[in-house]
Amino acid sequence: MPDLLFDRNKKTLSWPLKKISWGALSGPFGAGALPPGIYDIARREITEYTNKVDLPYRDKSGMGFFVPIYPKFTTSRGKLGGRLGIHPDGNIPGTLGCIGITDANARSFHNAIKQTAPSIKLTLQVK
Amino acid sequence: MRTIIKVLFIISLIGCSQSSVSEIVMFSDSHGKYYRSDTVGGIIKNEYGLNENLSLILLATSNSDSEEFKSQLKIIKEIDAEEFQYLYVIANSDTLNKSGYYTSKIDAKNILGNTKFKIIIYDQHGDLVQSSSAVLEKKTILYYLTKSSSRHRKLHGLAQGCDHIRRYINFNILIPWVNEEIGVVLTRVRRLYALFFCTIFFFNINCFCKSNRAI
Repeated sequence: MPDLLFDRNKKTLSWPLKKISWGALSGPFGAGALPPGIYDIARREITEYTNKVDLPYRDKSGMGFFVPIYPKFTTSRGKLGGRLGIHPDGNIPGTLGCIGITDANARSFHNAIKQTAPSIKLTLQVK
Repeated sequence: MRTIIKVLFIISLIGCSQSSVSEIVMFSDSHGKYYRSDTVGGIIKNEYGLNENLSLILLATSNSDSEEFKSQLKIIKEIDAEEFQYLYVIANSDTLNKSGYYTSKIDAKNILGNTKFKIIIYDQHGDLVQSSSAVLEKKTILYYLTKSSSRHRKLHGLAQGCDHIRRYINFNILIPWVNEEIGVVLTRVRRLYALFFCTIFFFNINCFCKSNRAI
């Protein structure tokens, strides 16, 4: 069973085991929302929660992060035009296909990922 | 007689504009939702709480491995879709691509007609801005994306029809060798050319009407 669940219609990203949920969306720009399926979350590749990331990746507090994700199925998404990932939804509402956290303070998501041991394989289901 | 010809001319202008608006394409997204090209901008604007409607770039091909298609897709992906607020639709008459926005194979065939590749740009209101069976450069696409956003600040109806004709005259009749890279100065020059051309055109109509009346 995947650790995280992103519901595109309800616009929520949840971690059922930890009973945490965030507002989130994907698309509509470019090729639109993430296609449904299972993704690996690259726990070892996450950035810090920092103001050094670009504006589209920052929340309203001015801080942000990028958590890369990799589809476990065949798709052209993420191979051309930037990596796929989870980040705060900065500047214009919506993303180019990543998952954008719409909560004003996305720190709790970063903390939840960071508190997970790097050796643990996290997965995400998009539906 | 002169009034009748002028009215017919104005109707033909409006007709030119409306015929491009009526070129509606149906497509779906990876959610399985169906959209019409003329309403998608507004629907998505409401769904995502955006400030503006979205533009639409439609890429039609009969073979997604063709060099034209791959090179055009690469060029499009270099343009920040979030910044320029557009989405792109793949119309493949050979296979379906369900990873983004796509049309049915039959619709793709209809869009392509006798060509193997086509790029179509719609503005935020679903009006046709440009259709080309040749690969468009990044600067040209940017021109049409930004041009279309300012276009709707102008008057609708006749003004829109005139805009189509002005653009056609600018690009294809008067100075077809103009390169987008030359920039704003030449755009102003082209406007002057277009104004001059239109003045001569109306003058000719007047002369024609007068000569008819004399007969």
